[in-house]
Amino acid sequence: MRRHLAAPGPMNAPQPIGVQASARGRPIVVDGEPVETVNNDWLGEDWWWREVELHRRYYEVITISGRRVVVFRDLLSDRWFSQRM
Amino acid sequence: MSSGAGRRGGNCGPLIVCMHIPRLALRVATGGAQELLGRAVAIAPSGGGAMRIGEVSGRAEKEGVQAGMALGEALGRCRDLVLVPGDPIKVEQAWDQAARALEGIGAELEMARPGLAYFDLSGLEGIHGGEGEVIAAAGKALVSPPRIGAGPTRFCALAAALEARSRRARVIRDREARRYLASQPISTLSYREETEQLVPALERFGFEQLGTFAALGAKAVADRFGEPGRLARRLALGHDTPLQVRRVEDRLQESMKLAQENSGLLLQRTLGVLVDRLLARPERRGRTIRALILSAELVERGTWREHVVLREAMAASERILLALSGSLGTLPEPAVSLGLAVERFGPATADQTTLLDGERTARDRRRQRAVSQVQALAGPHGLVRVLVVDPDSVAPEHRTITAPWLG
Repeated sequence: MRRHLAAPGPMNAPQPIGVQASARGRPIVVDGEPVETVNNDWLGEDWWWREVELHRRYYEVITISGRRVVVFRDLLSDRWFSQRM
Repeated sequence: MSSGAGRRGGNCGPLIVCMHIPRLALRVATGGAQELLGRAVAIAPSGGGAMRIGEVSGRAEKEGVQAGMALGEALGRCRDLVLVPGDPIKVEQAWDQAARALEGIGAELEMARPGLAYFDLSGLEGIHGGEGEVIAAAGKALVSPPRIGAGPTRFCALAAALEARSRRARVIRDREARRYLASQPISTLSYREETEQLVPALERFGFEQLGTFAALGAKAVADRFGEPGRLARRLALGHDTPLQVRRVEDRLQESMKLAQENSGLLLQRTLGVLVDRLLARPERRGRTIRALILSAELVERGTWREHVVLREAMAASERILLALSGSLGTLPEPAVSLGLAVERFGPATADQTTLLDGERTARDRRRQRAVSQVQALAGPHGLVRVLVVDPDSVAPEHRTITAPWLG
């Protein structure tokens, strides 16, 4: 059977993910797994000249099963996404 | 001279129709803004080269401002002049739409410039019922009311269109063309690319009408004004070259939003992806590319457009990219998107093989067969290559992209 793959375009697009955050906004449960530790966090801001600017707060977390996940909160839509780094 | 369009007799020569939409670029640039009606408006210089303004409104013209004038001089003549950024992409789209509407009535068009087109009426009368009906159908086909002129030559039709009222065609007959042209202003020559440069000089010499210029004599004109002068005189005497009608072809275009700041490297890579995508389009049907239109949507309001004719028809992405790179350098300001469209195709690609490197050719063929098999199995996008377009982007999804594999 002929299989059609996605059309050429950007790679590593952000994927929506379920995250529970603390009152300070740090992730405590990612994709149903409690977070063991937050290794790193940083702010990604750009595209100030475009209609939709980029404002993201990234977190690199280790879950209790030892999985490393990078998630970010889109500060404009207040939604969480995961992304490979 | 007749003002209306009637039915032609049997022994008439060709009748060329000129469709003229005055100030099309300015209309598109202002977007019909009510607050600009009746004001002195001009299209701002596009940057990159000389700071000269584009089309100007009627009010600006009354204040002494003319299209092509240096910005400083225009502002000196009219302090209230409102400058609006040009939008060549939208102009092109609007004009293309108008052209397709005219082709819909059966007209084979010569596209002189946006807002100015010609077609030969011969052959269309049978379809529409008569000369007047063809002209009426052409007028109705356009959204913006055009000025319509008709005459035995392209230049005569143009002069008639410039004089016509908005809803009444001006038709000049063969027998009266020469006398009619003689009475037309010398500025009519500015609408023709080959002769526009002559107009300032001729006006300085005191020529007001085409007739006085044509009376100079062929040798004197050729001696003083060269080839453009010779052509101008021939036009004024009612002679012209045949129409060069455009061929209706598929319009292939690709565009891409620019995610990050417009560094030269990012633009270059984005352009590379656009070239690859264009070459991978099945509608190309193996044809080579002869001319392209490179366009961009700018950070500030407005667009930029560059017409690139390749030295020879080709389908090699590296060579096309090389030819386009120079134009990319003339981008007047940062862009938010980049577009590439095929304007004209060349003949289909020939299967050229090298004379000596047989092993390499065979290997290339085997690889091409393998690619074809994968693509047949998984679709045209089944095999892609990964391109690093902006490794330092804050958004990881814009660091790498996939592009079609061209074999």
